[in-house]
Amino acid sequence: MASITITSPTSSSDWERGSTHNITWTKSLGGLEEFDSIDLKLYRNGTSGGDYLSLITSINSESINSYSWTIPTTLSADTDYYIEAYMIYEEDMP
Amino acid sequence: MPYVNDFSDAFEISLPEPTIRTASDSLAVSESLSRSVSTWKVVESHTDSVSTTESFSTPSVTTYRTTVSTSNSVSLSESLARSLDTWEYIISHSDSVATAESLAKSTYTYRNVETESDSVNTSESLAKSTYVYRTPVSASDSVNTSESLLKAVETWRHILAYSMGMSLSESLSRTIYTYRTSVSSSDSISTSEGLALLVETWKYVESNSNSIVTAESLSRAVENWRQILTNSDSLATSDSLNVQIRVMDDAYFYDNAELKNASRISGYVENGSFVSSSGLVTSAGSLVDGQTSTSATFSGSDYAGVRFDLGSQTTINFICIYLNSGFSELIKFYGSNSQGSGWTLIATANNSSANWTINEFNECNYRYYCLQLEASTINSKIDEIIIGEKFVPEIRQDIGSGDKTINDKMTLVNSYAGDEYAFRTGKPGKLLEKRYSNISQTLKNNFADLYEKSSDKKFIYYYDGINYCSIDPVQINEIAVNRYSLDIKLKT
Repeated sequence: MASITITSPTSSSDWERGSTHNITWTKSLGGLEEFDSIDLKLYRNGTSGGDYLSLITSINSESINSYSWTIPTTLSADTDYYIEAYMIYEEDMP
Repeated sequence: MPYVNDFSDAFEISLPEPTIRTASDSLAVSESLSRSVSTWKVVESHTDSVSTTESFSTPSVTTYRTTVSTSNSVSLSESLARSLDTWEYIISHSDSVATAESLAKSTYTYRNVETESDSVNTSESLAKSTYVYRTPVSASDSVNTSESLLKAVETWRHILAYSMGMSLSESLSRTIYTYRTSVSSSDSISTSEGLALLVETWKYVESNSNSIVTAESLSRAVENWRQILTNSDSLATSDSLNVQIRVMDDAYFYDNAELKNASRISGYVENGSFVSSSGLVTSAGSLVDGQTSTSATFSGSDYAGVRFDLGSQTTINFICIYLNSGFSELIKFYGSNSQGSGWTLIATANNSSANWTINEFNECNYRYYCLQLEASTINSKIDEIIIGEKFVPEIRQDIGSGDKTINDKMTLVNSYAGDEYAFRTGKPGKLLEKRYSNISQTLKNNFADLYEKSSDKKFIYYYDGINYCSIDPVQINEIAVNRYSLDIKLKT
């Protein structure tokens, strides 16, 4: 059964605007599943009903588990930012 | 398409902390300057062994103004402050010139340059100033630095303060040019040597004295520059020399207008018109009879004059008047080319002194001339007048010409007993004998004209004073083609 978990940032992360940090994650795929892509998206004000701000990047390589992100200086300072890792995969027919 | 997702924990995005850097204001001036100088040393010269002199070079000054201030719009006070700080730092490290003195001079120069409303480019002025300072300070010449600087600054000050027609930039340019080339007529002379020579020249040659004050010697030097280098003065150098020579020359004031032959009529000039009026002047012929013992009498009210008709327009530039005694009535001399109108005042002559006075004026050219007295009540006498064009020989008389006292106004009587008596019939006269040993035909003709028009009428020969003379026949010998030797004798 496929799964994905973001390991960074965490609740203790404090990233300055203009600085660069790694977004990291772990993922697993079942025996009949095939990796397609991962989208990293930025949200604000909660994960449910929050504001979708932007697509950070889209990754098409299964071997990549991190992304170096330079925080845009246009973002306002806040403690309620979230990143969503959204992995798409295909199921091989038996 | 199947998918799975995960959200990160909420995390913080914050503003960056202010960067901790050394504020420029907190950097000590000396340290800042030290770094600047070090930079200049390396960048400008590609070596660490740059001399102080080189540090003073124009690029450095330009750098101070632009780089240090990061703008050409830097205020003058700030620019000066930084420049002075820099100089102070640099000078104090190796140079022997007194910092305070250098700074004083520099500041003074800047102040002059900056405050003058001249269009001179500031950077150019600074470059020139720096060049002058730089060279005397560092040149291995024996010239005293402080003295050179003082002279240079004094010169600028003088030029600036006296508001001459020369622009500031031109003055500066010519000053430096003069230092380098004019004094020595060579570019190979060192600036410091040029300065020393110039100053010495001012002190000794111009004033014939070592006690001349600086201001005076500079004044003379600037006057020379103004006339010789720029010709900006209204009096050309050649004219100036000519004037000096003419002052020393002798001159003849004789009746070359032939006033003695002019017709005369009594009357007066009023508001540009001549009105005939008999009886205002009596014995007018005495004015031109060649004798100072007879006089014409002017009488009446307001105006009393005599008009002379020369027959044609005649150029004159003087009127000599002899009075047996001075008087209060004004003596005015008018001219016109029309008998009744267009009369113009030419000169107001001296009326207060007895004896001869020479009144010179700008050349004028009229047919009619009128001499008149003006006062509410007129009753005075004029004894003799001469008008004409002043004759100044183009060359001076020979060395050896001279004068001697003669006693030709005596009568010798022999008594029957054989004794000899002498009766003086007049004052002893003076015989002036002059020789011009090699003169042109033009000058010969001028002397011939003098004799022709003065053989029967005395005239004034001016040389070390006024001599009222008669002239003996002029002896002329042609010594070469169109060259003549001339001997004249004048008797007072």
